[in-house]
Amino acid sequence: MGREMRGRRMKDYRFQVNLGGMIEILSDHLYSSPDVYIRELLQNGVDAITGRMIREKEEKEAGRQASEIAGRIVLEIEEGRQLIFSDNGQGLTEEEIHQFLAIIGESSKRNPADGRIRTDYIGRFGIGLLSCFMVSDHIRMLTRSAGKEAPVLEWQGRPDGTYTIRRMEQEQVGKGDMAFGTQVILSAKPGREDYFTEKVIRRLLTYYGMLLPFPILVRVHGKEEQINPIYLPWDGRETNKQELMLFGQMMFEEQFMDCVPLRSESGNVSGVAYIIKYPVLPSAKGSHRIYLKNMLLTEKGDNLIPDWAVFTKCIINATDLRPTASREGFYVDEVLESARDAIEDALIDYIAGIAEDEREVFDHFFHIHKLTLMSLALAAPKLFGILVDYCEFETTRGLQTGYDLRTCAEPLVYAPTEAKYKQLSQLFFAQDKMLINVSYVHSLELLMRLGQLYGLEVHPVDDWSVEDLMEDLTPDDQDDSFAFQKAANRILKAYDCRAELKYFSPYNQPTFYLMDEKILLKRQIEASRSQADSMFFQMLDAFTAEIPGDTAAVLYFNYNNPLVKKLTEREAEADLKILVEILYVQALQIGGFTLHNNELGMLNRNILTLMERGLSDE
Amino acid sequence: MNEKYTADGYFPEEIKRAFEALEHGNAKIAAIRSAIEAADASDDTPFRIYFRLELCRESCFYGDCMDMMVIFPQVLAIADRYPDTPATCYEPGYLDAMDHVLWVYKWILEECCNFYQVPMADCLKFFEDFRRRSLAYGYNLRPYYYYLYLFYEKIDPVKSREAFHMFEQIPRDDNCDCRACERNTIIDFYLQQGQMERAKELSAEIENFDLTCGHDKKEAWLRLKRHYMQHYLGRREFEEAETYCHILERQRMKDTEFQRWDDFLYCYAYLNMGKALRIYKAHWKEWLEERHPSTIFSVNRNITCFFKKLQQERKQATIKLSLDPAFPLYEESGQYSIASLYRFYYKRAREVAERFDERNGSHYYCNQLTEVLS
Repeated sequence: MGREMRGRRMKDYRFQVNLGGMIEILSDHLYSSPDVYIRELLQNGVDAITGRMIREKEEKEAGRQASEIAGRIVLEIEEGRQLIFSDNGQGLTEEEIHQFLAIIGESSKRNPADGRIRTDYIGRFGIGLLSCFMVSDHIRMLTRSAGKEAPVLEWQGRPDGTYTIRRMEQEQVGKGDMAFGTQVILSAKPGREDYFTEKVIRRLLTYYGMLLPFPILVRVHGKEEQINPIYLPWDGRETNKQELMLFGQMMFEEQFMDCVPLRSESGNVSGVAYIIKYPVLPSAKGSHRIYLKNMLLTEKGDNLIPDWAVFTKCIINATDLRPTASREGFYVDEVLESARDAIEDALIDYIAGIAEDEREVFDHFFHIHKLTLMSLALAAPKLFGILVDYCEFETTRGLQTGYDLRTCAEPLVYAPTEAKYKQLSQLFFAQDKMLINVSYVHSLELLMRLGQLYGLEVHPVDDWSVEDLMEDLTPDDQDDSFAFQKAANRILKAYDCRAELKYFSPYNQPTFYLMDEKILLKRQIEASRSQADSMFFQMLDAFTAEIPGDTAAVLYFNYNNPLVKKLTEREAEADLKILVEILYVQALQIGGFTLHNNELGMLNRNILTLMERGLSDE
Repeated sequence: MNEKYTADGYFPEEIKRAFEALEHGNAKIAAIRSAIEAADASDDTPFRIYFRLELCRESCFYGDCMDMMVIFPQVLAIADRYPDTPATCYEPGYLDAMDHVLWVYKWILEECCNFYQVPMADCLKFFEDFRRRSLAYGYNLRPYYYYLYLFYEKIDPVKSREAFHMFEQIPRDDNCDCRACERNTIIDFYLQQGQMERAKELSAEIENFDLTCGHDKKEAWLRLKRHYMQHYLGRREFEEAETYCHILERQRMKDTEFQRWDDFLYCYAYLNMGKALRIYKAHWKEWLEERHPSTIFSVNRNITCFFKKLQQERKQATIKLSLDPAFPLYEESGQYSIASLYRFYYKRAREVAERFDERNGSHYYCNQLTEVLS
């Protein structure tokens, strides 16, 4: 605080607000798209009708006369130019116009007794009408308060924050049961004419208002049509599956495999989950219809529908969950979490139920959604035992299910990576031993849990398991090949590799290269060192120093292979060097290992040398 | 499923999608390595850098950091050779590739203290290099001091506190860790200083989920729980620690920082030996194969404590365990001398402690080992 300010009396100031700017922010930045203007109009209309009905009910309870006119909403469209949105709700008095339409944030839905927003209403924040400025430069509203001999008032608001009110002696808001209530008249602003076409308005009405409890009528050239059924197909009536399926088909414009009614007391949530007929990726974003008090709130089920339920499209109506300010989602609180748990339980019970009682349905369901269900098996312990039997694993004996694996007598040996599986599968296959590829998503975790559940032996393939697939040479063959092995070891030492001779299948495979994790790390460190700044050399060398000195990869020569047999008979080490190096690099390539520059160079050189010799021999 | 990139062309987007679908662990690391090879073969510099940084991320958060320590020098070399490399479309929020590299550099600084293999002189060189690059790039030194504080935590308490106070004074910028992560570190600082009230005051926002980290709302909250758990374990207040163990145990987070099974082992060794034994049986093999030096120390220290307690509580001198031949003291009979197991793990812990202390020029690790066993 500056010296001149110290000790002076403090004065109150008010924040200054640029109303036009605020309207722009609220209407252009709070809402995700101009589409929502229809939603906001519907919301205000429904709330106005609800307000009138509450008032009438209070009048009746107080013994006074009250009308029982059914609520209605009518949209009269002048194609591409104008929309007149009418409701026969409670309307507004002049005082209410000043209070609720002129003060942003002042909601007409507050209970006068305590200032709290009543839960009967959809809207809460008093900013909905502003969304109309996204499609129109001018909002004209005619309103007549219901239940009294109230005048028709006209309110006209502009985006610069100015408005006018006047009494309209000659105007009406409507006839008959639309003689009171509110009419909002919007004219298309340039560039927004599309939002005033019958096609777009119908689409938006269907999208947002399908579950609203009051008839919504579209009037074009004098012809009127109701677009909504005014009841929830699953609520308060005997659930008819066929009717639910048809409803889902109408809402999502696709056919489904099955449907699951959902209900949660918490949040007063009810609805249906439709099972999709085609495979969906686990990472797919769900497309649902989540309603709040019968008005569409969002298509995203993020907080309400379990993440793993990507095989569903849900229609859900909630009455007691709290929407966010933009009304495009829910606040995450205990009530919402409880509702989500109830939905999750319903879906899990459905899956468990069809697995037990409707096998054909379950088989079909699993076949389509297996990837997602593998993820679900891990997420829902209750379902693991059921689902894992159906999960498929790639093995050297073809695709095996969890059931096949848990009923086979041998230990379950797996290759942790695709590369390792590729490297070893030939050996295992030739020996009729099973190796499981767990590099696929969820496979490893499923296999481990399967092992735990059924007490099975599950372990990764180790060097000693690989050596089990090979046979030691007979003493005579050992003698015959001794010199070759010594020479091969000398040649391969430069590559941190040693030579071994074994018998193994398939016979047409001359070599097999086995590299363990330590050698792999060593190669990676060497690759880094060749590129890194010298600042890192000591660190990289220290990592290398930790790797035991006798660590070496192994190049197994197959003594069953005719080429290898001939090789062992060669004496000239210069010739042997070329051939052994070629076989070494070939083994690396077959095993899917990255070649270092010197290895590729070596291969090229040796092939050229052989070619030259071949050509000069001619 | 495990999609492969087409041999006919190079599609980094498909490659990325394929490895992202994999579980965290060796399979994913192998797939990312394949992605690196593909980018190298196509000379696609932005993706050569990006895929390497993805390997760093996978190694750091879901692995043992060794792959990150090995590959980071390559990333820095490539980024230095091509300083104008733009960030890929998968790196929103980074100005260019070097910006992302600077972000990951912080993880290297954090891990320097956890790898005794990195000579002290080199650790200081990395810090100085990061400092120089930060300033050259237009960033301030808040992260530099933040990680310097963490680096000296187990080496030099005086320097550690000085670095912490420097960090606090510098305002945040875009290269700082998120507010939630910084807050957790600050809370941990006050816990270590014994200022419980201050720590609790600072914890409120994370407890209420008003301060969160990344996509998962629970991450910062779990990290907070981990700090409190380790604080109480350090003070041997096991009943208090158990509350936090219980919370962390039930989480299904794959991040290695929340897989604190050795801490749970240590806690339950004093509260519920049966449970501790189950934990040992479930995790002995992964602990044997651990490559992260700091974790090797803490794991072996905790297992040593476990066997010491087991020795005290059990009447018999042996215990039946289903270990396999990979275990250095493997017994076909399955009967193991508790004393032998204790000595085995103590020796492992001691060896690593001595290496750390030798590198650091202090006695922190050996003293800690002696203290927990006293």
